[in-house]
Amino acid sequence: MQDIKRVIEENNGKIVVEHDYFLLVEVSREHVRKLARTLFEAGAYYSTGVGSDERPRNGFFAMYHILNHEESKKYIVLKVEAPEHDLRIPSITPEIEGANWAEREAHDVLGIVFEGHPEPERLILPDDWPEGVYPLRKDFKYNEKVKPVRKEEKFIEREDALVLPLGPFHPTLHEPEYFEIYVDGETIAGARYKGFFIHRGLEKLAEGRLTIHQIPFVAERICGICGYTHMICYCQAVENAIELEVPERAEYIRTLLLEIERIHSHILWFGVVYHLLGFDTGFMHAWRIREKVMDIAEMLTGNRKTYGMSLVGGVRRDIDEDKKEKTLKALREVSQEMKKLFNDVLAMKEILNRIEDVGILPKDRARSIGVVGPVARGSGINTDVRKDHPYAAYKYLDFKVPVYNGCDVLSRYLVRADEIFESIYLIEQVLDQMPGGDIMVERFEVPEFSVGVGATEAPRGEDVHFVITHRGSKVYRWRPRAPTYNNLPSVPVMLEGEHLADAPAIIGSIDPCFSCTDHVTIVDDSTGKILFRGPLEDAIRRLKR
Amino acid sequence: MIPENYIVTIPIVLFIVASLAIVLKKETSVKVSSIISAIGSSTLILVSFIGFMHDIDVKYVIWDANGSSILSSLCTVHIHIDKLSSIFVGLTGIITLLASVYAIKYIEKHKSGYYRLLSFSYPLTVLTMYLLFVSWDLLWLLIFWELLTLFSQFIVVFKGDKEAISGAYQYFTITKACADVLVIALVTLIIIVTGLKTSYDDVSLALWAYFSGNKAIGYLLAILALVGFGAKAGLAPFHTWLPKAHPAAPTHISAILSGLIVKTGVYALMRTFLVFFPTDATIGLIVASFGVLTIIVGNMRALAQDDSKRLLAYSTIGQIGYILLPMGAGIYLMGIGQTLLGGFALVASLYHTINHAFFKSLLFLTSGSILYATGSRDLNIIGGLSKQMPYTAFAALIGALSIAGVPPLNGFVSKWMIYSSLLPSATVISLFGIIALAMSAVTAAYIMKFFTAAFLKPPKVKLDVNEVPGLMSATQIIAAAFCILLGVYPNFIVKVCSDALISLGYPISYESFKILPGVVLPNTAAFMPILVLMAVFLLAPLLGLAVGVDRIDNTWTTGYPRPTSAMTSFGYYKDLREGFSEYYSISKELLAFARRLSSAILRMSSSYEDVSYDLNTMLYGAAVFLVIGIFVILWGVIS
Amino acid sequence: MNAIIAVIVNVIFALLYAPLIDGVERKIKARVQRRKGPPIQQTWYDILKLFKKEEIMPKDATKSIFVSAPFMAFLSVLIAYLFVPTILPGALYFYGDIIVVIYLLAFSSIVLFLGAFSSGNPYAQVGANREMSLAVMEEILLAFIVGSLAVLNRSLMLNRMFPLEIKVSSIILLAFYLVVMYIASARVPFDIAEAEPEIAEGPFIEYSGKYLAMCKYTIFLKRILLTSLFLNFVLPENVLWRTIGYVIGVVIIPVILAMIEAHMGRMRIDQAVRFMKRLSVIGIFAWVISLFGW
Repeated sequence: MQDIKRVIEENNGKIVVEHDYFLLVEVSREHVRKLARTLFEAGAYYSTGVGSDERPRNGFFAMYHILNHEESKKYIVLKVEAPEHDLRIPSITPEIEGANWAEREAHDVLGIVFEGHPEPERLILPDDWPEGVYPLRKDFKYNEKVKPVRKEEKFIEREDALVLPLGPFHPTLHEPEYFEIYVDGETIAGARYKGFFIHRGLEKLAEGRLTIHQIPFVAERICGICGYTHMICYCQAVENAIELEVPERAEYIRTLLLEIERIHSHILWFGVVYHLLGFDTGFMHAWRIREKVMDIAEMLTGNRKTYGMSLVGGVRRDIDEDKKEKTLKALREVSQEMKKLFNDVLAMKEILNRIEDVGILPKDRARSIGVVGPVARGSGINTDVRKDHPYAAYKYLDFKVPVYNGCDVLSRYLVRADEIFESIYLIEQVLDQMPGGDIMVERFEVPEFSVGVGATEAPRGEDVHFVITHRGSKVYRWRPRAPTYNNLPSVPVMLEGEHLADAPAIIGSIDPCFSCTDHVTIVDDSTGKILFRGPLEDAIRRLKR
Repeated sequence: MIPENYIVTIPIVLFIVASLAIVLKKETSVKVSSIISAIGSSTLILVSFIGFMHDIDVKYVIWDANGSSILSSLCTVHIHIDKLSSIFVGLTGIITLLASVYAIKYIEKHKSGYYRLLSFSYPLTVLTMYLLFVSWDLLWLLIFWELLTLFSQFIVVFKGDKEAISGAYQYFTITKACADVLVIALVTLIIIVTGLKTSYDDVSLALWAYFSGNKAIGYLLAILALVGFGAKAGLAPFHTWLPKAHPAAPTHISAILSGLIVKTGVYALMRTFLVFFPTDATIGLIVASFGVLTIIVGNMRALAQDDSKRLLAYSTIGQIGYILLPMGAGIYLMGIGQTLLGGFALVASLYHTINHAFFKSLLFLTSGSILYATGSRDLNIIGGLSKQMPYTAFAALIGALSIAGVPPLNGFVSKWMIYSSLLPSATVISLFGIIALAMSAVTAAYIMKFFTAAFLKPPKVKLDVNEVPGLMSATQIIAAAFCILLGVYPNFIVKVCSDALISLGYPISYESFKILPGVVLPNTAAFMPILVLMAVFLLAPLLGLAVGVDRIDNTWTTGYPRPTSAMTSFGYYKDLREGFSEYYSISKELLAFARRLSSAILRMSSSYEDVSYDLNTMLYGAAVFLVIGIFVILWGVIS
Repeated sequence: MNAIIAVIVNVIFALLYAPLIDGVERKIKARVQRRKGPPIQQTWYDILKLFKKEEIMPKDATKSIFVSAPFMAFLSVLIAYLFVPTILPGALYFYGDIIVVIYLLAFSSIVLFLGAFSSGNPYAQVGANREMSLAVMEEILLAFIVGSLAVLNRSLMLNRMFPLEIKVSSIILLAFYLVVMYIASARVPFDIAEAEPEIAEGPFIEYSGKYLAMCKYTIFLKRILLTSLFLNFVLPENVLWRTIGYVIGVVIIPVILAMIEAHMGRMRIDQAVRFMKRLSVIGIFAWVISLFGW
């Protein structure tokens, strides 16, 4: 702990805020790259980056790079500022691969120019958005209408491969995305990804229209499967910003519901994977078992999915004692049936052949891209927000974090399978240990311009929300970063050299939740590098066989 | 009626006249030569008809030499057209007619080349081929054989680029090297066996008698003949020149090369094994084995090709296997007493020869049209040509379906005959039949690759393409018509082939085939099966057009508004080829072995060359050879 | 005349029955998955519904081949029923008819290949490619079966092979044939050509309305043809017993296959090719045994 602080100070970083959870470090433009590199080498990975227009406050634009240093159990937020007339910040992408998308997004919505960025392409704004209009700037009203601009798109045709457009409407995808896969016979020679078909502008909405207490409900609707995690994560971000302690009972209730969400999300994923592998019977059985979990959720909260249970300061409703028995009974059944299903499937040779040694993501690559959740744990990285930055009731509970070294789809499969049983165990502990008391802090102050970082372990990985509070119950800046955002750049890496038939399984193995996400990358198979525009165009122009 | 000897002579005169076009200017000379050759080809068709009806026998005496000796054989050109020869002459006439007409327009596309060489050599090639088919003397056969190699090599090299020259060179060397072996075989044959007589009648009589006594030497001669004639036919493992020479030649020449010139090898093999040699089961087995090997080698290699003409060249090799396999199997079956199936197999072999001449030249002509229109042979980048070249596409489709063996086209008939005769026999021939049946699936695969890559899949590079000129189109359509005709009315050809074989003395009867009530021969079942199959072909498009299309929309690219894309040619069947990777690596191993062998031979020959500069050694060596040679002759004369 | 009537009845039976048994299979699979499943007539409803939908052709397509291909495939499989009896033991037998049946089955794959490429859709191309690779491997295996049967029976006429004599080689051949039949019926794990999550229906992706109905119908007919061929090999000649046996067989075999299918996941094309390559060893073995007449 002390070490990391020393490292920061030695590299021209000024620690301005020190919380349990995170350090806010101010660093100048000249030193940000070196500091980022040093922190990466010290074991931190790039979690996300947030751009912010702070001109009303101090006349500067700011870029917050958030790194996760598990060893010291802290998030390190590097804040770099630039004035409006000289809106340039050195890019740290050459040092840390994972910063690629965050910087491109900040450029898109705020206009910050990142010098030295290898691929300064448009990321989240649609193709027909006019240049020079930056929606997240404070002088852009949230309901301002923009006239679309026609742009001529050049379509790629490869001489050495078939161009297969996958999406946005493809049976293998559950949300609209676009993967352009270059296929040579049946082998994938490369992949291009373009997303953000369902970018909804929630961040701008939060700044403009919503109050600090309404945002949890919007946050819950970011995702169709893991909404509650987002709700909690946001609440935690604000609670961390204003250093609010949530009552213990509320923490336990939050944990209970988070784990139930994890179980149902994982079982859903298993069903989807079986379907992608052609084993529809497994799909049907998995979802049948999942129904029991949904019934538990409905019994506890009144809703199958969008629980609506949490607010800043606690939870909204309490849990009855007599529901405990029913919950435990149902979970026991789920556990038994899932065990049987898993054993049966693992005995099926043809399924194993499709997921073993398929979609390899080497450990070092995983670290530099910054993948999270089961994807990281399947590549041998022991990372879990519940252990690294304990939140809610996890600090009082006992559980294991499954880590597998296979780096393939099978490893991620096994990680999620183990997690289901761990979650059931966690719920049993929660129901056993739940203390009495309040469930909500009724009154609290929200100081202006407090920075907060909240992190939870969603079923898909680390979910990070970044909040800067504002006066009058508003929010100055809100940035939800879903786990799939960090996992998607690894997909082209995993796809290269694999069979086309395995592509759905590989894409599915990161458990993509595109609603949470939406961003873009291009990868060249032959060199394994994430390609940026120049080299990509060269590769396409080269007449190679 | 014009006396026979004049009829036979007319084509000779016409072709010689055609070759005189060399005096004209470049392109014109080729055109004139082609036109006159076309007329000559028509007369060839006439000759073949007459020859089939009743045999023609003509002798040209150069100068009178008494007695029967090699010298006197050389002084007289004995021409005799029997039913077998007339089939081949007829084929030559039709195919070269189509090719010559095609050439008239095709030659315009070429910017450079040895025009005069082409206009001179082309008619002479056809001429020597004709004379080869009709000569009735072994020595003259040899002479025309060598002349054919010479002239055809010249027409291969027309384009004059590196590919053409190396192709022609390979062609020349391998067939020359093998032809030399051939020479030794034949010379030995003549000297030992016939007592210096070289007319076919004498040769077959003498060999038949000889064979029963000296089986070993007989087998040796058979193998030598197989190698020597087989190389010209494209028999594996002597086929390596074919994929280099056939694509390099201009299209109408490729059509003739694949359609006819390899048939000269087939003809020579047929003459040798069906006429000269008695029906011996072992020889049949050897021929059949080489046939099966050729089928496997040719078809597997064709699967991996991306160049339209090379693909067709390898396909030719494979199809020659389909000709030799039933030939050998027929001889074998006859030899072990199964005359019905054996005869059927022999008829199948001859039928397939005819079929192959038609659909292979058709396919080459269409690939030439593709080259003419797009300037490319690369199946990777061309595509979608069916929209802009509908007639060529139709002809190519017929050709592709024929070679794939789809009923009711001609390929199906001959292949069906091959399987019907080979599979039921309780010998290893049945296994060969299974391999042939399995390989026909591979044939269908690669020819569909050719057709879809060129005509159906979208192009990778936008090409501005027009349909080929009417003259070229017409030749393709006529060839396609032949393919269809030979498929829906097979009885005629079966009768022709059976008669030809009967005239060679085989105990076959067309009537006897009818106890196999089959798809080929009606009047024994209550219907004509082939007509039923025709219904599919005609009814389906009618139904399709009747249903029609309600509306045309963009190609579905899963919602992203981009144009469609095309598969590369080397992407086809990748998994299939990887599944057969052991086979492909065997051939790599063999190739490496062959290379080491040939370099060893080269080293030996260069050391020989060193030695040859030493006069003493040479004299001693020559003396030794002379002694051996005299000894052999004396021994032959005495015994 | 008798044969003609039998053939007509057989063909009509096949046409009516093939979608019906597919409905039964769907029901079985649903039950295995603890669902209710659609009613048995559902496949018929689907086909009839498709007949009423409009036919759309992509603008990159070659019309002549695009519209002919589904009908050609359908008709070629239908014609194979002239030579393979279904419910009544009569058919148009002739020498070498088994080869014609094999060729017709191969032809339906070839023509669908042409149809897929004629649509110009990249997914169709990938699907057709897989379809052809599978078809080539199936042909190789079928060649061994046909050849062994020919050697065993010293003939190439189907009526001499209905039924087969009970010998070791027949049993091995029949078992081998069952495996090949499963593969050729496009069932999981071998429904690689139309793998929906991977290549969105593959060769059929651009077909709609009556054309799509024909494509699907062809697959159903093919399955029944292969099943009928098997049943003909094993059922006795006595007409009564044969008919009873046939009716039982043509219901039970698809049911068993459907249950197997419900418990399996899909193979990749390269895995399937390798699998079939290994199977061909059995084919050679079967031929050798047939050669010795065991």
